[in-house]
This record gives sequence, C-alpha cells and structure tokens, in this order.
Amino acid sequence: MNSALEIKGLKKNYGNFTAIKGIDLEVKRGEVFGFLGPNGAGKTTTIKTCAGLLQPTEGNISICGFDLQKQGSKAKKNLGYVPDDPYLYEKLTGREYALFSARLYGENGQKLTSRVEEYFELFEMKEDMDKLIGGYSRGMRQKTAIISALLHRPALLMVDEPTANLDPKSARLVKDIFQNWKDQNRTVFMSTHVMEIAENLCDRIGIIHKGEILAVDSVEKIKGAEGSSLEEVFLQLTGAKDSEIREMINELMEDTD
Amino acid sequence: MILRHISLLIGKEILIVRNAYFSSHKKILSTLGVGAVFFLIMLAVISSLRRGFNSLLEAIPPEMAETAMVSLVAVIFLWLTAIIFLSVVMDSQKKFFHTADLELLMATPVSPGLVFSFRFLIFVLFSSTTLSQLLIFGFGPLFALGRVVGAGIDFYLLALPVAYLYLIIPAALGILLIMILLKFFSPKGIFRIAGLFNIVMTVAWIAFITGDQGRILAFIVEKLGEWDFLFYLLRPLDAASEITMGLMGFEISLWRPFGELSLFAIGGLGIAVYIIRKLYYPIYDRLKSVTVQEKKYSPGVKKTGFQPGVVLTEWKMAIRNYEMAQGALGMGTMLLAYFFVLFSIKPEGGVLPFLLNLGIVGFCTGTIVSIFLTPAAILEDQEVRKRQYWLLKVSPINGKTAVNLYWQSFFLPQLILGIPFLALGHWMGGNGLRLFFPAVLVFLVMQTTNSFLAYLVEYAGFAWGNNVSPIIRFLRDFAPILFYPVFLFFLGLGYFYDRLAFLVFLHSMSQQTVLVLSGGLLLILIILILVPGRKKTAEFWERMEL
Repeated sequence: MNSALEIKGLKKNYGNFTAIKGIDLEVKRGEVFGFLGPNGAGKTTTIKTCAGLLQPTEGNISICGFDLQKQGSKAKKNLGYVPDDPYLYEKLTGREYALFSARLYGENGQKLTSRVEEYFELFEMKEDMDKLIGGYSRGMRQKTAIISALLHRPALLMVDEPTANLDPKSARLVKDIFQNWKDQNRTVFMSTHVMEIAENLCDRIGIIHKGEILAVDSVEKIKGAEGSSLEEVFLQLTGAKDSEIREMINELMEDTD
Repeated sequence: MILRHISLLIGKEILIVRNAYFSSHKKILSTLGVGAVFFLIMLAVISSLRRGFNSLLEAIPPEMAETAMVSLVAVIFLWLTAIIFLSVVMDSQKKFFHTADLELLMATPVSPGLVFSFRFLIFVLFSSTTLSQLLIFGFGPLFALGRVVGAGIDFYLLALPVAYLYLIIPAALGILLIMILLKFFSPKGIFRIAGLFNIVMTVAWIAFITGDQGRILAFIVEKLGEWDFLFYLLRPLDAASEITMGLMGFEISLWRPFGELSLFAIGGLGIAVYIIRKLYYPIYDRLKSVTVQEKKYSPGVKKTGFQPGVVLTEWKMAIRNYEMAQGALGMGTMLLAYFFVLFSIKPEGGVLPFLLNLGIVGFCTGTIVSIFLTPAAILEDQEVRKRQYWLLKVSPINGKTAVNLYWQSFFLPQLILGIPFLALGHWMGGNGLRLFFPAVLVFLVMQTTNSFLAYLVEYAGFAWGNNVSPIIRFLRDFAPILFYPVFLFFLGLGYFYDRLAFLVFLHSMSQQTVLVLSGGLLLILIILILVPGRKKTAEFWERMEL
C-alpha cells in the first residue's frame, strides 16, 4: 500500500451548486503535494472533505488504505489537519491545547509532554505556551495549530494555506519541517497560493479550477519545456491572461485618478 | 457628511433586519408565522392575566378599585424597569462593547462619536434586549389590564408606545451605570461588585421573608419619607403610570405626564449620548487591553500537570470564563430567592402550581449548569459551536464517543452542583430530593429532546445553524421547555394521587408505593427517549458537516 491519500470520483454539492465535480487524485507516501487553484476553485472543500469535516456527495476517500466513510477512526488516526483559519479554544493555554489535541489521537505520557515542549521551543513559543490562546496573535495560533497537528506524527498531514499569518522565519521553519516529514516517508498535502512554495517544496502539484482538476504532475512537467514560470502556467490554465489583467488594472487606476 | 454617515449606518441596520427576516418569501412567511404564534401565546397570557386581575379586583371594595389599579400599573412598570435595567447591565458588555463590526467602523472616516452614539441608540431603542422584554413582559399585563377596565382603542394603540418611551430611561441608565463602573473597575472587578450586590440582595430578601414583614415595610416607608428626594428619580415611572391610567379611561390629564415623560426620555437620552461620546472610546480601549492582559494570565496551569481528557478540558475552559460565572451567579441568586419564596409562602394551589414550581426549579438548575459550562457564544451562535468542534471532528472519535463526552461534560457537573442545592432544599423544607431529582431528570430529557430536534431539523432538510428558518429555530429553542410539565406530571401523580379522582384505583396504596410507581414510569419514559435519542445524536454527529 503506497498511497497516503486516494480520492475516487469525489463530488460535493452545496444545494444546487457543485463545488467538486467528481475528481480523482492519488497522493503517494513520502511526497509533498501542492494543491493550487484560484479562490473558490474547491481546494478547501476538497481538504475539508478529506479531513471528514464535510460529507462527500459522491465518491470515496481513503487515507493510508482506510476508507474515510467506513473506517473513519482508523483513517483519521493517520491524519493531521491544519485549517486555513484555525479556531482554537481560547480558554486553554497553548500547551493544554496541544496536549488535548494529541490525546484525542491516543498519544500520552512523558514522551508527549517533552515533545510538546520541544515543538513550542522550535517555533519560539516556549515563553508563551502557558498563556491562554485568547491572547495569541494570529501567527501564534497558526503555529499552535501546526504543532498540534504534528504531535501524533500522522502519516498524512493536510494543511490549508500553511504559511498564512506566519512571519518569514516561521514560514521557513514550516517548509523545513515539511521537508523533514517527507524524508521520514510521511506525506504532506497542502493548498497554497504561494507559487514559490509550490515550486520549491512540492514534488507534485495539482491544479483545481471550478471543481475540476486541470493538471496533476511534477512541477517541472507542468511548467513544460518552454521554461514558463509556474505562475504563468497557473494563470493560463485557470483562464486568467496576464496581459488582460494588466490592462484591467491600468483602466482601474486611470478611473481612480 | 454626518447625515450621510447616519443614513449609511441606519441603512446597514435595515439591511441586516431585511436579510435576516424578509429577504425571501420563505423568510417572510416564517417571520409572519413566528409573529402569529407569539401573538396567540400573548392572547392566552392576556386571557389568563385578565382572570387574575378580575379576581383581585373583585376581592377589594369598589371604592378602592382605582387605587388598586394605580398600584397594578405601577407594579407592571416597576417590574419592566427592573427587567430592562438588569438585562441591559448583563448584556451591555457582550452586545454593546464587544461587537465584531466596531473595528471595521472605527477604521472608516465615520466619526467615532457618531459610531458610539449610534451604537448606543440602536442598543437602547432597537436591540432584542429591550424590545423582546417589552413585548414579553409589557404587552401581556398591559393589554390584560385594558381588557379588565374595557379600555378603548386609543389605549391599545398607545399603551405600548408609552411603555417604550418610558423604558428608554432604565435602559439608558443601565448602560450608563455599566460604563461608569467600567471607568473605575475592570470587568472582573464589576463581576465581583455584581456578586457582592447579589449576596446583599439575597440576604436582604431572606431577612424580609423570614423577618417581621410588617415592621420591615413600616421601616422602609419611614425611610422613604425621610428621603423623599428619591421620588424624583421615580417621577418618569409615575408619569408613565398616569398616562396609562388616562388611556384606560380614568380621569387623568394626559398632557402633563406625557410632557414630563418625553422630557425625561429625550433629556436622558441626550445626557447619555453626551457621556457615551466622552467615555466610550477610553473604556472600549481599556476593555480590549484588559481582555488581553487577563487572557494572558493563566490561573493554576501546571507545567506538566494532570490532563485527564476532554471532559475536564471542557470544564476548565468553562470555569476560566468569568462571563459565564457571572451569569451562573445571577441565576443562582434567582434560584435562591425562588427557593425562599417557594418554602416561605407555601402555596396551597394544588397540582398545577406545584408542577410549575418544580418545573421552574428544574429549569433554573439546568440553566445554571448550561450557563456555567457552555460558553455564551456557543449558546447563541451555532456557527461558533461548529468552529469549535472541528478538532473533535477530524480526530479519531466516533459519534457515540463524542455524544458520551458531551453528555458527561454536562451531566457530571450538574450532579456535583446539585449537591449544594440538595442540602439547601433539605435545610429549607426537607424537600431537597423532591426538587433535585426532577431537575436532573428534566435536564436529561431536555438534552435528549435537543438531539432529537437536531435530527429532525436535519431530516426535514433544514440547514443546521443560523440559516435555519425562524419556526424551526423557535421549536428548537423552546420545544424542550414543553417537556417540563409533561414529565413532571408523572411525579405530580405520585404526590397528589389521593386528590385526583381518576387515580382512585391507587387510593388503597401507600404514598411511597405510588411514588415508586410514578417515578418508575417516569424513568421508563426517559429511558425510552434517551436510548434512541443518544443513537440519533451519534448518527447526527457522524453526518454533521462543519
């Protein structure tokens, strides 16, 4: 069994609106997979459905070979999830939240306690880990959510916009952690709008637009032989032409003047 | 520019109301439906109150009727004053200072003074805090009085607007009080002051109930005579009562009290707006920084301490939330006062009043626990609940475990908190068990009903959360309350079997036997609801989308 995540025919409707139109995707163990797409393309819906927060209208999702619908607990045990705007319990401290989260996954003991301290130290939050989350900045909340998702060492880490709210140093740290995760034959599945991250960190990327996957391949193959940048390819695939965008901006600026 | 900003702010409020209640045919129908249900309930309340007022008036000599009517009107307004004042004090921190759109508005070119004044006026004049209290506690009693005296159409058209005009005064005073307190004390300090105030009030209440009430009243009247300046403070109440009496048809001039009341209301609003423009920003700023400082303080957090699990974590979060503790203290005081009334007056009203009494005690106990253990934001906003549950939802916990954890979080503290109530009940009248067990049973039933309703809401195809239709929301929020009389009825059968004719077949048994039978029946009924309720809730959890 080599797949960390397997999506087959996934469809998700919100009332009459179809957000995901029957996508298939396989993410292997030991790879960093980037999920790209414009706003409203279906990235977060896909990730939330894979995390069990939304029910698929059609299709199947397997995490490390466990069917999310039929073997939910086993599948989720292998999953770590960081939402794009994590809501954390404001009346818990960072340390308490991290311990609470890890214990939900069956982690326990002195080893866990030390691991929590190590992670907070790594993210330069050791001094703040015993303060209530209610007093944290957005960046600190994001770091706490990432720490909590790593503690049970999941085989598949799903992260929605991993570097949102993070300062450059912390963003770099997160990238290094993802690299390290991959070296341990674990998988990272992340959505991002930052092309630089996708280009430098991801082994493969998938581009989703209007609920359909337009391309899945390695960064090099998607960029093609012409030497285009990933940004240009992305804009072309998602229907936004660089020259048209510039023209619209110019018109708007003239109107403003 | 100011007028433009005012119109924009008003426009925003209108849009919010329109989108919430009138944006589609479905919503309009639902809003009208809820309005009709409310109106029907109010008609029943008016009819019941009218009978009560009539019997009261029949019991006194005719020459005293007008005096009695004056007292009744004054009591209604006094009651409204207390309710509105306390509601505003309790709600203002949450609804007046901590509102999500304030930072947005403060970043716009609208003058902060205008933003604060507008927020104040909206809160006093149009918030649910004042309007709902007026409708719930003013509409019924005033219209019932109108029916008793056979008032004309002008009374029905003008009584509520007059009450509304009057209620601006206690609402504005409530906000001013909280603002002045916040100027000098932290929110935690105010909580302590409120706690102290509650204790003083409770002690005074106990002294009144258990002491020589005639002597105490004589003492109060004597002191009021010495401090007659206090009556000037109650002048608006007098004016509102006089207008209401005049509208009912009594020979009282309307213009003078109306002028006085308008002067007090408009003048009071003007002064309040002036003070708020001066005080709001420093307080808002201070509240924000105080919040951060207080939140950074983590009481009793051990570095490598005992972390036993979800249930304790839920409690820990709840106990750290002093806003909930404040609510719990308020409810606790109310309950305490209620106990004293119940046991001191000893009403001999038969089965129905007894069941209602038990129901109120059960409801209060359940509410205290809910307030104490459920963050206010979760009670009010399902979306927040959804957001809070994402972690549990993505972790390897199945629906049954989640329901078990949820129930343990609610029921265990109720049992623990129930022990002091039990002791109190025994101390006051030897009825602790009688009061406590129905409360626990009813709370169990209420939780199950909630889960059933959640299931029904979803099954019926309505979205769970804030988008749910007003009728379903109304049912979801209020239907569980209907279970109180129904379930307590079974216990009532046990207590009053010898008074109820259709239970004649039980008359040869001892009361203990009948109590065991009725209690057993109640227990069976609860199990019949709890077991499938738990299953359905677990299924709901599995399918719930966040």
